[in-house]
Amino acid sequence: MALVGNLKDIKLPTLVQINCMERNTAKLTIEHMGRFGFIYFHEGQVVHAEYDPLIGEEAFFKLLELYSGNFKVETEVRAPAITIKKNWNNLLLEGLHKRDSCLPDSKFNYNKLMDALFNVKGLEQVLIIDQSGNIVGQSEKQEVDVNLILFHWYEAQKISQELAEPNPRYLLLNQGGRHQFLIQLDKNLLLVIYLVRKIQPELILSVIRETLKIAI
Amino acid sequence: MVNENMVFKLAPTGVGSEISLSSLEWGVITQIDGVKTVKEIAGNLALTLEETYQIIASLRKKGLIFFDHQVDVKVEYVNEKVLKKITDRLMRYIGPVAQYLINDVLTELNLTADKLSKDRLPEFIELLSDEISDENKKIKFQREMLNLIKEVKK
Amino acid sequence: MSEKLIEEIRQIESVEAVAIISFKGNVWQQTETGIPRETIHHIASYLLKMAAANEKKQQKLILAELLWLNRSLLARFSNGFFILVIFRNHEVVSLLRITLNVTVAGLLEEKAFLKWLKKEKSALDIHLKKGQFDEKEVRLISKLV
Repeated sequence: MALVGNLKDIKLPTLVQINCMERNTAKLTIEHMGRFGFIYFHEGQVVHAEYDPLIGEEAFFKLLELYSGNFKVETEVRAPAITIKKNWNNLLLEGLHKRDSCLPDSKFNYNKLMDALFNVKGLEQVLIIDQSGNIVGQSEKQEVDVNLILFHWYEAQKISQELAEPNPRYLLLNQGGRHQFLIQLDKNLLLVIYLVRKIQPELILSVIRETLKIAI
Repeated sequence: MVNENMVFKLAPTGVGSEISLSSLEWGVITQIDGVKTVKEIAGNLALTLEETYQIIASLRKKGLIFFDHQVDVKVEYVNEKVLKKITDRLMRYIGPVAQYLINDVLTELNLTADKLSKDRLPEFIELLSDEISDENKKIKFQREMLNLIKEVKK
Repeated sequence: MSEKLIEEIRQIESVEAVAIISFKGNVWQQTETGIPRETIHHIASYLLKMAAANEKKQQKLILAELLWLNRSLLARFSNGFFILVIFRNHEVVSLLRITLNVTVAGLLEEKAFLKWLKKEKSALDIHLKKGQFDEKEVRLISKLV
């Protein structure tokens, strides 16, 4: 019998930890945007991983960057090869460390922020864009209208100027069932959060403040 | 130790070095008027209580504000009859699942049925009404609840 | 009737301004406040541009909410009009959102208002074509195609 779910509900590090602590032999399949990744456990150790074109530790570390995607755990499935020999604890720690510190061009730790934000129920997608419309960080690769986002934010700034206020702390748009939350992280970066339900904005603001240590 | 019922005042400005404040510290300073409690300031600025305590403590340390008095705030809770009325009305629109929904929303707001304060009633009602998918029923429910909120506030 | 509705909103603690505005940009009713009418008019035009941009992308804008340190803004959109509220205490936002929903429903039952609204019928996209735009707006609007 297979256990199925989505990484939005159970994070991958948690899934790895569960399978290792229960000393499982199993195959964890992850499907994300049509691509498949696999992590194999043998008696509670991670022994193999694949995420085309990567295998072994590199594939495992890459899979750790995923925040959404369907997963399936099948027990008693043996690994086709042994490509990982590191103890699971060290492997997971190393992977999380790599994930949380691999941002060359910005002072913000986006992965840490996404991790923290996805603890809030009702979040669908998170992305960070710059003022030129480039997507700097994204929880999952989905087509997003950055020009519309930038336009909305610009008009919100104009409203602020009319009221002699600084930039808004947030702009929240209810677009019929889907809520879009825009927050300026710094002069250049905009955080965009898509929600499937109304969430207390104070909650999101305090998560951002806590994670990034910025006053918004 | 700062608590939510404390009221602060601005310290008289003195000569000395410039103090730089974050935008949130400025926001809190603008709310300090010798009348608003810490809890009210947090609510007005969409800050959590813990964050507000930290900012207040920081401003106090910088000598910009001082503690004036504590307000003996008696929290007014919504009584059983009112909650029953809300449940009954909601049940009319979404059926027996209303009770479960009410419990879910109370949990989400970190509240219990006997500790639903009057000032959180609108927030509670809003979350409940969001679960009514039929727009007409939602408006009817909200209309009824608005009247109830007014009655409760009297 | 709509005076009563708008008054109910205005009486909510810390509300600074309320205005009911058509998609053409004209005001049905607004409260007399410390915020100049011209300011309300400009804010309305920016909100209409946002709604127009959304419509261009086949997304309906129902509510826009902005938060500053000591002020907030809500704009509740419906068919052909929206209600704009500017207020100080963020704590009243839930009560305002409920009240705005009920007010929209009330307005759509008022004959005089519906008569006025019919005359004010206007496509939203006019706000992306006519009016005053700065350089950045022109550039952003051109990318919305």
